[in-house]
Amino acid sequence: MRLPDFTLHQPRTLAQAFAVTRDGPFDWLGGGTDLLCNYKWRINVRANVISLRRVPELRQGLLGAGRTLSEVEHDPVLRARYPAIAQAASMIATPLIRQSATLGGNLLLDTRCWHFNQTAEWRFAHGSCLKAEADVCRVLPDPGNLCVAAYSGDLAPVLLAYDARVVLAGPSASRSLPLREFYAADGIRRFRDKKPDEVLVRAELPADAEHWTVRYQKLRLRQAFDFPEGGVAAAVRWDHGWAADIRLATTAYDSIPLLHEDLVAPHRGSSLDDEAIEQIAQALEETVRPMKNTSMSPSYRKKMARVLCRRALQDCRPQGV
Amino acid sequence: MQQTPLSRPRKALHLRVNGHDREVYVRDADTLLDVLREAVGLTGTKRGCDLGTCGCCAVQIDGRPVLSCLTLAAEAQDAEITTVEGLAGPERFTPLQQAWAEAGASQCGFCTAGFLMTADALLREHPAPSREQIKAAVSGNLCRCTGFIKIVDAIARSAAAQHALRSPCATAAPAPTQCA
Repeated sequence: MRLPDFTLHQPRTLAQAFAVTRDGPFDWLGGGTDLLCNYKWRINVRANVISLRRVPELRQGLLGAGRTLSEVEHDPVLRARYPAIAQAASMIATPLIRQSATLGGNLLLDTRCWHFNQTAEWRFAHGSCLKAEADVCRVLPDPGNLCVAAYSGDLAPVLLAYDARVVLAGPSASRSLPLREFYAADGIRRFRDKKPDEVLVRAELPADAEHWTVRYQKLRLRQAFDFPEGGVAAAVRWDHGWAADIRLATTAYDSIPLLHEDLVAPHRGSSLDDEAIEQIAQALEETVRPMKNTSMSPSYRKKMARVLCRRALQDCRPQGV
Repeated sequence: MQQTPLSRPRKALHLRVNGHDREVYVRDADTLLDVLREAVGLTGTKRGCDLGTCGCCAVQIDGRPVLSCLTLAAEAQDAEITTVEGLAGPERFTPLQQAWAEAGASQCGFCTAGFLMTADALLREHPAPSREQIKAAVSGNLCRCTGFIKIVDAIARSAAAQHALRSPCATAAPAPTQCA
């Protein structure tokens, strides 16, 4: 399958990268393991592709956006101090894909839908959808002009559980914002106010991140290849046997990775016993609203939210409890 | 769907493949797989799904196994590219290839090149991998013939053979019981 024609730019600095954004419509290229698949299927192809592989600024820091998922997975510092990040990275796609795919690419992963991620022939025969060439949603009869394609990144829920921030660089300035304020609940727009010519430089963890126990659970059919059909990250900050603070984040249940603060708020300061965990897990099952746009049925994915949540929270408890 | 022929040259690209310098003329949008098979003429690397979900197109770039179907050729410039043709000479198998043949790890053979490139990289990083490590390492390669068991056997067999060669007792043959 031949890729459609485009002009490839290979800048060596961010300044060079920003300069070529003025050449016309473009896509940023990280590892290319998602973008090039979409291009092969003639999905939203742009005339210019700007590769960020040779930009050293993106490889700096523990969570540099240009680091490959394989590097994140095997990073000794991450494995020792923030194991949930390395663990989540190790669960993404396959070892071969992780050699190229990047941390930034996973955080910025395009939303996915059964009616969108298809060949051009399939889409045109079927009628396409509002995320590609048409103006109708094939999942909901009236989605309110919002796309309900599923966000399927595995790192975002874990970084939300750590309350991470993201650093963006643009032609005129850089800025940092909480990851929880980064995404927009629209599978097409995807980000609240990220400008097209802004680049994700890195993620940053808060100073107290090491004091949190974070665990991630992922629902998928195969232990490799598959995007999450559901994903739950739980984080607990323990204080002398009490769950002083709790965070819960999900992926693949919406067009956005979500932090569920209201579900865990009543249990802050508790011992997070089995009953508390079951209450949180049940509340999560009732909260998530998976759509019929991935391989597994929405009802199964919804039921599994409870199971994933229970497992993640139980894993957060100190061993032997 | 209209296909753009590779014969439409755009830019000169210098690639180093299996230790040889190659000058090819490619489009910006040509993948490394396109170029290896059609411009360089190395057809050992196979085009399977072409979407990164089968592993048949795996090659090594600077020793790392990567999917050539999702790597732009221009991105591999100045790197050391190794394909399955670069693993061994035309008349001699590597120990891994020998183990592959002995274990019966190939049936139709279409996936073999991708598996070999992945397994070769694994054995360089982990000369004595466990079966779980082997399974994890090749979890991005699909085989629709063997059922994977003989593939895992072949990699384990190759690792064991290499370990035996490195062992100080290897020179003591024919008295292997000294190593027990």
